[in-house]
Amino acid sequence: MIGTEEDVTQDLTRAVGGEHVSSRPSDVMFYARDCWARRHLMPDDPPRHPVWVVWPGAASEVARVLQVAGRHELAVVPYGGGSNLVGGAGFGDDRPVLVVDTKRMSRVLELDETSLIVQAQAGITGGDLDEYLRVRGLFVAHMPTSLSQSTLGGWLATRSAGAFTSRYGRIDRVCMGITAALPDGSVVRTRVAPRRATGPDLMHLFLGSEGALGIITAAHLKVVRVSKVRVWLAGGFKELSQAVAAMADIMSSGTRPVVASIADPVVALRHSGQPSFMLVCSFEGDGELPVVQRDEARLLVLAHGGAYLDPAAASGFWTARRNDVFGDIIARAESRVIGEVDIGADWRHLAMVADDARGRLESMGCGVTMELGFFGLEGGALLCKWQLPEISDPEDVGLRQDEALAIVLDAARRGGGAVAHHRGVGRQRSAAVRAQLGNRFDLFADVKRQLDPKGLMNPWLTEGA
Amino acid sequence: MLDDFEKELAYCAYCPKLCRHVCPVGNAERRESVIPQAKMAMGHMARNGTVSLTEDYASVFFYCNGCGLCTEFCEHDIPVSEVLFEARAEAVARGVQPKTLQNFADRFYARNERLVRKLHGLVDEHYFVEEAQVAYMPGCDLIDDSPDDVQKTLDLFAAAGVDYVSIMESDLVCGGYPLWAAGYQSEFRHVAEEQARRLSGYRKVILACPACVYTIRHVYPKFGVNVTAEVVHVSEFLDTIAHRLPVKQTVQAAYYHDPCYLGRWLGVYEPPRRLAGLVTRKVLEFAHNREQADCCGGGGLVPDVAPQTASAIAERRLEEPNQAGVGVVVTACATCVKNLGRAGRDMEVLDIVSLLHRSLE
Amino acid sequence: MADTISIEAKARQLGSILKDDQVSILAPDRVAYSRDLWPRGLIEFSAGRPAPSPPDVVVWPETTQDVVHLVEWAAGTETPLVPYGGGSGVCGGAMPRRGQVVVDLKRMDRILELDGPNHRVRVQPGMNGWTFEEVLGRSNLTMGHFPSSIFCSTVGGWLAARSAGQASTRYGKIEDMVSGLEVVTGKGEVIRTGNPGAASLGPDWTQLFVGSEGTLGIITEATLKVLPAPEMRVYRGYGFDRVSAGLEAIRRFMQKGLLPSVVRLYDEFDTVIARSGAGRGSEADTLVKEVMGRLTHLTKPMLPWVKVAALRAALSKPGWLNKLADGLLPKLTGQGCLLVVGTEGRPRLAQAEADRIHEEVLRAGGRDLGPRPGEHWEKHRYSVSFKQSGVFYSGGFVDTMEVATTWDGLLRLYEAVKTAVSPLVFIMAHFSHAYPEGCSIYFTFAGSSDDPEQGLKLYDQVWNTALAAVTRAGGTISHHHGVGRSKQAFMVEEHGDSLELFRMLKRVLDPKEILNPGKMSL
Ligand SMILES: Cc1cc2nc3c(=O)[nH]c(=O)nc-3n(C[C@H](O)[C@H](O)[C@H](O)COP(=O)(O)OP(=O)(O)OC[C@H]3O[C@@H](n4cnc5c(N)ncnc54)[C@H](O)[C@@H]3O)c2cc1C
Ligand SMILES: Cc1cc2nc3c(=O)[nH]c(=O)nc-3n(C[C@H](O)[C@H](O)[C@H](O)COP(=O)(O)OP(=O)(O)OC[C@H]3O[C@@H](n4cnc5c(N)ncnc54)[C@H](O)[C@@H]3O)c2cc1C
Ligand code: SF4
Ligand code: SF4
Repeated sequence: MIGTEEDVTQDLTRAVGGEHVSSRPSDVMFYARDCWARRHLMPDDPPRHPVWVVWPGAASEVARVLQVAGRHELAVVPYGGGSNLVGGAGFGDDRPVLVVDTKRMSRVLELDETSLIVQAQAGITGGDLDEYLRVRGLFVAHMPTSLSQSTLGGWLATRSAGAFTSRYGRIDRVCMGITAALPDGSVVRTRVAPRRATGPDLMHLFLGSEGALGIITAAHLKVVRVSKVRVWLAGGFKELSQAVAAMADIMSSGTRPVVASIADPVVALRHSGQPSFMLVCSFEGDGELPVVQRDEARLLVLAHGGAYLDPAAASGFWTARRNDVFGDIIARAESRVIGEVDIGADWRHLAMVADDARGRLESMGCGVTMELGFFGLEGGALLCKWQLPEISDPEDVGLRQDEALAIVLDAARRGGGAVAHHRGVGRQRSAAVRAQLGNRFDLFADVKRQLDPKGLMNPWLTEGA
Repeated sequence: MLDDFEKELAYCAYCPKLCRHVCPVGNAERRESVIPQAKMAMGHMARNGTVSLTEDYASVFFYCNGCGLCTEFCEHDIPVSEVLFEARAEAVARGVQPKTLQNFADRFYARNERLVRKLHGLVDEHYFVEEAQVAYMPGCDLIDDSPDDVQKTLDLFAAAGVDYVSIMESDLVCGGYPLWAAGYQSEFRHVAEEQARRLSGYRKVILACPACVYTIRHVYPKFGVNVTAEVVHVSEFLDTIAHRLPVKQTVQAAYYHDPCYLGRWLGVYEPPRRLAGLVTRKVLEFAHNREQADCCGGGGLVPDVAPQTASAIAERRLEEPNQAGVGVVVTACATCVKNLGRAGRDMEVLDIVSLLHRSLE
Repeated sequence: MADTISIEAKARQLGSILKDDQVSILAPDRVAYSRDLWPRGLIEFSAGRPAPSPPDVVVWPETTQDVVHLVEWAAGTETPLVPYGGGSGVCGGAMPRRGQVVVDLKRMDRILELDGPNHRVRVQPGMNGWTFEEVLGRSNLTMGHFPSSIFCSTVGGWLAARSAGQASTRYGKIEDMVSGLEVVTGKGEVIRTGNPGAASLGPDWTQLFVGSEGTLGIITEATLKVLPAPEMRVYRGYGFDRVSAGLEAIRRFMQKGLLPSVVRLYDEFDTVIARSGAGRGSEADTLVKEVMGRLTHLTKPMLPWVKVAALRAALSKPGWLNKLADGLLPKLTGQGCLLVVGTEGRPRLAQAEADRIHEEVLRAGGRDLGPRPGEHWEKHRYSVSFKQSGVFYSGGFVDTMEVATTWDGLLRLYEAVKTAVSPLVFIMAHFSHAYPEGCSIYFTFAGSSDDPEQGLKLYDQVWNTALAAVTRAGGTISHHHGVGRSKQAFMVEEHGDSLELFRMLKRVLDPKEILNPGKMSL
């Protein structure tokens, strides 16, 4: 750091106004962590508070804040909802840390109801954005389970996925352009068009960058009209591989499911009364089309040996997932023995990876449930949840959690899949992801050096590169 | 120069390379200068003096099989190969034809002489009948590279009870296609006139070489040479007597390859297929067949100018039967047999005549 | 430094890196590779300058390693490389300059793996578009990518120049179809992007290489998504009195989440072209002649003063022609604007989707014209490209400009361009590539001048005027043809300050600026 803490505080005050800067313990302590559960199992490494938190209100203020950070060579951590599960925000550094909380930037800047595009500031929470649009008959087709806890900026920075990803794609397909403040204190905007062929789509530089290249301050997103009709399909399968094959066909059939998931027998049992793998899809729109889509998809379920289940099982699963899972995850985040991770694989390997991970976790004595979802044309994600067996020595829990995580990531690797699907990388799995990215990671570090020569932004992300 | 084709040359020169994907030479070479559009653009530039024809520039005219695929595809029906053969003549006139085609006429005549002698050694003298009305003309590549097929053809005639066909008595075994394709037009005209006189001594002449059937029927008249005899391809003739052929189905499966000149240029698609069907349980079609059939690479003297390109084209053509694991390709042209045969190591490539003969009872 | 090595020396050095038959300095090759299909090059050609700046050498790599070696050589000698696919680009993107080496990728044209269960195919960049679809078709698959240039373009060119096909509304544009790339950067590094692509952290590199037109890396392999070939297609045509009404109909059904494969709305003049018998054997074999013929035919009985203007004479008074088209055509033809919509896929889905669209279009005031216009379109879907020859042959020129914007500004963009350009050239347009958020406008303009030199001046003037109008109206200067050389002067207007990010990427990936320099305003 260059200068004293007082100097910095003064400069920050000039940048955003005194009421939007804080070093109060009651403020900074909340920014020492995010939703990474493993963090609780590190008693030897107590959370290191940031020294400052600032709440800028607009891109220009963020830019000024970054100028201050540059001048004093602070470490900067952008902070949205802090809902990430991987230790991506709220972590200390050897340098004094400045947290830039984006949540004061929470306004909708423009809603173009003719073109169905909304521009909002990056700190808006999913819940607020959704509410703003719903009353107008619209929504952003991005529904992470953490909707109300996470921010637009966080979504973009982690390239997140949501419940409707199978139809609308991840957030990078929903986003049409961004505004970002760069570490040098300038602001860039990528231009919005339905499509353009004038070079690379530059917004992708910042999507998935987890705050290492700059701070996203606003974005244009596609919005969708709320549809009138939603119909459900539920299919029961003896084997996971059958369900996966059926889903692969559904995804390429042009039926365009909106919700698409495969649930474990234990979960399915609760809704369908059948202890089989349950394929769940919703089809949405208006008029007859969703019904035709569902009927066509049902043929594919039957063609792969699936049983046609009462659609109420599907909607029940969906409602429960929306209502319960959230509480569930929070409980898990607080729990010491539950763990969960998202990995990805292609159709040919999904079932294999799931079986591999399940088998090895079970032989560790874990209880395991899996959910498959977030599908694309080539495959999808696997959410793997485990509960460690009773462990007598509490000191051991952290190590056992690491072991379980390593098993699942290894299963992904063995199946040629991804060790991180959509929930970000953070500290949780940066080593595994780096290894998988190979020289792409070095390229990322090169880009970071160009945009952030002083290494201000989330510096640990590219440490050692 | 090339004044008759001013519009054709310009149309291609200004065309967005629309037929590039069908050109066998372009596809084998992947060289932008030998796709139809570029070859024609070169002709256009040579015609209007933008470039002066050197051997390098003129070389592109010779990268054409005369397969007609571009013309087939083109919505303007531009006869690219015809124009390019004309451009070759221009190159020859200026002495800038490829090295391998220098003194081509001399070599043509020398080869002819050799083949005339060879033909007489291949079959018994009694096949040469004076005053015959119907004659069989085997053609150069058949005599040279599939000599056995000459006797086999005669056997088939006999087996069907056709005893009136004589071998055409001539000191010219060729209709002159190679000279035309090489751009040796005055020599070609000479051969055409000579051959026309000989042909006209018959009522009907059965040719084994599709290129020469085309040349005699359609190119001779453009040079003011007319032939009174009816000129047919051997497959057309055999088709008319097929019902009397004592053959049985002995072959499991074979692909039929359309020779460009027989198919696209002469429109003869079904007779050879019917013949193949007599002796083959499954006559298989290439994905590109009939009007769309790919070239074997043997036409247009490409094997003389760019032998590797010619084999590359043949290899491409054989990919399909290779992948299907079918070991027999039948066609109706000795040039195709020769060019495909060279490329297909584990593949049996044979003339329809040979296939029929094998199944004679 | 590059200029200090003679052409022969370059060829010798390259010959020691590659095999002899992978290197050429043959005159006809250097001429053929001196341009792509930028129409300006055709005017130059007609002015007797077929190859204003031929490359020094042309090379044909056969493996990724060959490309790596080429790049290393280029970096060492500071010789720029110009990647070349089909050379069908219309912006001069693949046009080299003197001293440069063209890298033709067409010998890398194999399908490496067709992975049906995962709906993807790994393919080399030099694969010809049409051949590719044919091969996929044999396995009952399709990529759904049908640019009008499908016969003459390559997979690598599609990716590099951000191509969009005729069925993009359903299948997406090339960036939606690609899930991974292998790219050789200007540092000679081989980067494999994509799968396991979900591994986040850092940019989606695939999306940063797509559209970079050879300036950031040479694409040596692509993993593309494939879908089951459609079992059925349903086409329907609709009439509208005005363009605006047709656009409103499109906006409606697109925003209902419906996904037609084909959406094309022709403005009044383009409608005449679209409905005319194109193709083989048609008497009037040039675009404008056909229009003129029809205009004359239609107007003769009523307006004896409309003479059959010679093509060039007509084109030299574009203002008159444009006004005539605007004012009279709809009345005379009584057909206004034509909208063609197609759906496809599994039969019941295709039909159900067509029915929903039908309802929406009728509700928006469309007149049902039955299946014929769409079937006609399908039959002649590639014919219009053949018409270019005739226009140039008769001394005119023709070019197309595809721009796009969001729905709120679409009509404004359309009018702005027409107003700006119609004093200079004859102009017409259709709207295709529709999105819930907006649409592209595909302008065709045809002009003429007394001689090619004047033609060049007029051509440049038209483009400058048109692109300036586009940026003023807030549109993007290219929807799918790319930037290359022809539009690079407008890259600053196009991207504003974010252009610096592109330049930053260039510094990272190609610090020595050996990959396709002088393009895209880098
Ligand atoms: C209950 C629960 C359910 C979840 N469900 C899902 C789900 O369905 N799908 C899914 O994808 N994820 C899910 N997550 C994970 C998490 O919600 C997402 O990763 C989300 O995108 C994080 O957003 P955030 O605003 O909370 O970001 P934070 O956690 O605050 O930050 C995440 C990372 O992004 C950076 N960052 C934040 N804002 C910006 C900005 N404006 N500019 C630059 N960088 C920034 C931070 O520095 C950090 O590295 C879930 C989490 C929880 C707790
Ligand atoms: C008649 C006609 C119709 C057209 N219709 C359409 C259409 O419907 N939709 C559409 O999108 N476009 C269309 N185009 C434009 C053109 O076909 C596309 O831009 C196409 O993608 C170019 O492909 P190509 O292989 O010919 O590339 P080229 O023209 O050879 O190259 C285009 C650019 O990409 C670079 N490049 C090529 N290959 C590579 C590689 N492997 N790695 C890196 N860089 C590379 C080149 O350097 C150049 O900058 C049309 C063109 C014509 C002439
Ligand atoms: S033959 Fe026809 S398609 Fe081929 S280049 Fe000439 S004009 Fe174009
Ligand atoms: S005739 Fe055949 S070989 Fe000759 S240019 Fe046309 S397609 Fe190519």
